[in-house]
Amino acid sequence: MAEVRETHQFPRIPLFRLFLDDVMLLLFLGVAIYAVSYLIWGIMEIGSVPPFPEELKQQLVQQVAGGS
Amino acid sequence: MYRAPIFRMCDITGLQVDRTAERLIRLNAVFAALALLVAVIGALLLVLTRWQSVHLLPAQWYYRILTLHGLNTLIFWIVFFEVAGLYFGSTIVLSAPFCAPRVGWLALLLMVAGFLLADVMVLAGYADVLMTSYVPLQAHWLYYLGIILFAVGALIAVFLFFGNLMVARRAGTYGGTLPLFTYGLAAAAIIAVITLVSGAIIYVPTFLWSLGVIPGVDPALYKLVWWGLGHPAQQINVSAMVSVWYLAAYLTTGGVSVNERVSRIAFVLYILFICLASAHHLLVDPAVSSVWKVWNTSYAMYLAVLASMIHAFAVPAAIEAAQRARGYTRGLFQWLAKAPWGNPTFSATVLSIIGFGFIGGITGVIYGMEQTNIIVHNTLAIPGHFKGTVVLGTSLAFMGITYYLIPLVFRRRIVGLGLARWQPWIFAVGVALLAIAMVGLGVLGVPRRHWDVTFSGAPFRHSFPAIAGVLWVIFGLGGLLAVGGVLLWLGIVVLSVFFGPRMEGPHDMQLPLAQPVPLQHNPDGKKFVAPGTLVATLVFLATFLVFFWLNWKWLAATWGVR
Amino acid sequence: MSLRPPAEGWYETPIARDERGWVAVAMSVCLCLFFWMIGWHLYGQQNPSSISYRISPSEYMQLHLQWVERYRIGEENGVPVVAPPPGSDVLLLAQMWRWSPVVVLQKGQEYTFHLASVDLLHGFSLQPVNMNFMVYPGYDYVLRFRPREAGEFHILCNEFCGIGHHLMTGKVYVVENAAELERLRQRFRGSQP
Repeated sequence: MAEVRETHQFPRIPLFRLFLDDVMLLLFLGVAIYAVSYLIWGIMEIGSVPPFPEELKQQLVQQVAGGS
Repeated sequence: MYRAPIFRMCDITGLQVDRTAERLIRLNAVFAALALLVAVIGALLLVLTRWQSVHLLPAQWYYRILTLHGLNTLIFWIVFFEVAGLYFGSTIVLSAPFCAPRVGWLALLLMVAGFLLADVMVLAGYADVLMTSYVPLQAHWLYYLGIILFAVGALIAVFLFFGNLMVARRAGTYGGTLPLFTYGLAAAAIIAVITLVSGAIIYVPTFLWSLGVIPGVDPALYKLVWWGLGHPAQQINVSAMVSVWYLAAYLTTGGVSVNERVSRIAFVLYILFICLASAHHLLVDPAVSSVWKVWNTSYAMYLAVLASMIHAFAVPAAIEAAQRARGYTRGLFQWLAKAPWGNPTFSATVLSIIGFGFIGGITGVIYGMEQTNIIVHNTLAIPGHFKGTVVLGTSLAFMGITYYLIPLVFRRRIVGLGLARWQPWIFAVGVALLAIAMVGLGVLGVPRRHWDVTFSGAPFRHSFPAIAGVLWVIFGLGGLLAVGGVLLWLGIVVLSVFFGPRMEGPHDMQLPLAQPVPLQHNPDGKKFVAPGTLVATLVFLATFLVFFWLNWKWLAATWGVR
Repeated sequence: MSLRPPAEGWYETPIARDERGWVAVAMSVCLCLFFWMIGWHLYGQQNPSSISYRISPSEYMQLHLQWVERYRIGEENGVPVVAPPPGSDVLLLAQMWRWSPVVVLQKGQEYTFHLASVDLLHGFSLQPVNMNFMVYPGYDYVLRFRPREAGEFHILCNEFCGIGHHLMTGKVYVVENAAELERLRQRFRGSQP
């Protein structure tokens, strides 16, 4: 099969194939992408919901006070 | 003290079977069946309650059994079975030892304790909160503890899977690249990590709140994080189901993926993007923006859906290529007509693929689009959708592969093989009718998780169109047939595993192991390897486009909202 | 081989023509679906809003009651009936187990609905139009609705909220025009307490 060479020959396994075979790397990427895109971004949005605006409260209350 | 693993050499497959792994697989499978039994009894009661001509259970018990049913199907049945599968795929399939037997027993103990505790608490009335247990609804702290124990046990099992893979790689028992079945299970295991860690993040504070240790849990945060557990839990099922499809195709027809690289890339797309679509459950909720919703619900521009489309071609193509190599090349579908339909694993697998694709997948993608969700959220169409995916898809696939697990792992002959040939059909037809009826009722606006759609006692009584009556009958009959299909499967499995004649050798295999068929030479990829499958997938696409058009048309007819 | 490691050369195997074609078609459909959602936000009439506010249940209850008093025109089955001016706010309140108030809207006009709960999660389900949104305690979900047909509609609750969940129904009237609104007002005048 392989001829005896004088220099060391590393098997030329494509990078993408190594990526496909690397279960631990895939685990990390899967968790990271989900954590950032769904969880952290989602939590940030929920955390930044503004309070009910005072002007709107005034508007609704004022209409009551204005009466008809 | 290190105890060397004990193997038996399987005289049918030639694989080395670690005896501890085998024992753990068997026990997890037994508890899976037990959970399914609990769930199907619940299903029977629920069908006969929502079908209001019968209206069997009173309100409180309806919601209680609904909680029990959801928990035992979507969590306990499926996760116990998947743990069995994970162990199988990382030890027996690789002829490798189980990396830490004592930890395996601990995981089982925790899962069983959690399963029993949660179920007892629900039946005792301390957790009438439905599977989702949306805060501010609150259950008893022991209920949450049960869920947490189960989840911790399952997470340990998942880590044992990864441990087994590392041990097998180091021992060099399988060569460089994992078999496709195990690769798909690795995708499932990665998604399981996401699922269970999200579960911990939400259940621990909720548990503390139920004990009075913390004052409250924000309802919007709860729902966001809970669905980080709830939806990925179902994506574990998708990945595991697809792996089982490939395995079943191999065992029944000798077919292999027509392109391993493409199939593996599809599993990687699942790993990277499928969990984003937990956002499906928050599309008509406040607090999160449309930008967040559209990006996440699309699984990153539908890349994870592309993965499912790849498998939708690759699995039938595997069968077709093998059959064509055997000489069944006449016309577009002779390969299918001459396939081993008498083999219940084969029929279950094909029915699972069709059911998952046409009913589950089509409704899932369209209902998961941000705007069309408006016309289906919390209607009966949603459970109709997931009956197509989890029941017709995953559960049927798991039931089907069991007909090989009984002789190969439990080493027993199947009792009632004649009935077993009918079981996938009975179950599939039943669930299909049930699911389609539910989708139809949901289109009419009928709510899910609702005890009385005549609204007796309410200030305003809404009535649904008359056609709903017909759909309820189909719902009832389909549901009863489906329950029958499950009970039949359970009966066959229990009789075979506990009373079936023992396997003496390969001659005792009632379902043959098909001769593996090597891939045909196709140097530049110029040939069509699976023309029949291509036609089928195009028909599927056409069906999808019709349903897409219908739903967006229905949406456009509603009131303006922005 | 699904049970065995893949055959030698699996990585280099060229993709067959039909698989390649299918994947290309599927990929285009996937991209279209994504851009379709975005496009509908630009050109479609039905989109969930991204407007929400934090508000405590007690504060919302107070605002709601004040608003109901301002525009109340009567009562039906124990629930106040309210006719807000077109283009204004509608403060719908969800609680175990009722929707309040009954609202009278005018066809073709836009109303800024506020959906909030004072206890648990509830599900706003407008039937038979079939539009469904979530209602949270502590949050106000702001949705601008524009009814496109006249008639009588019901609001069902479709998120489990306890034993009385099936009792939780509300009502929406949509009148054709201002004259019809007057007629409805007369009808309810008799029911004013």
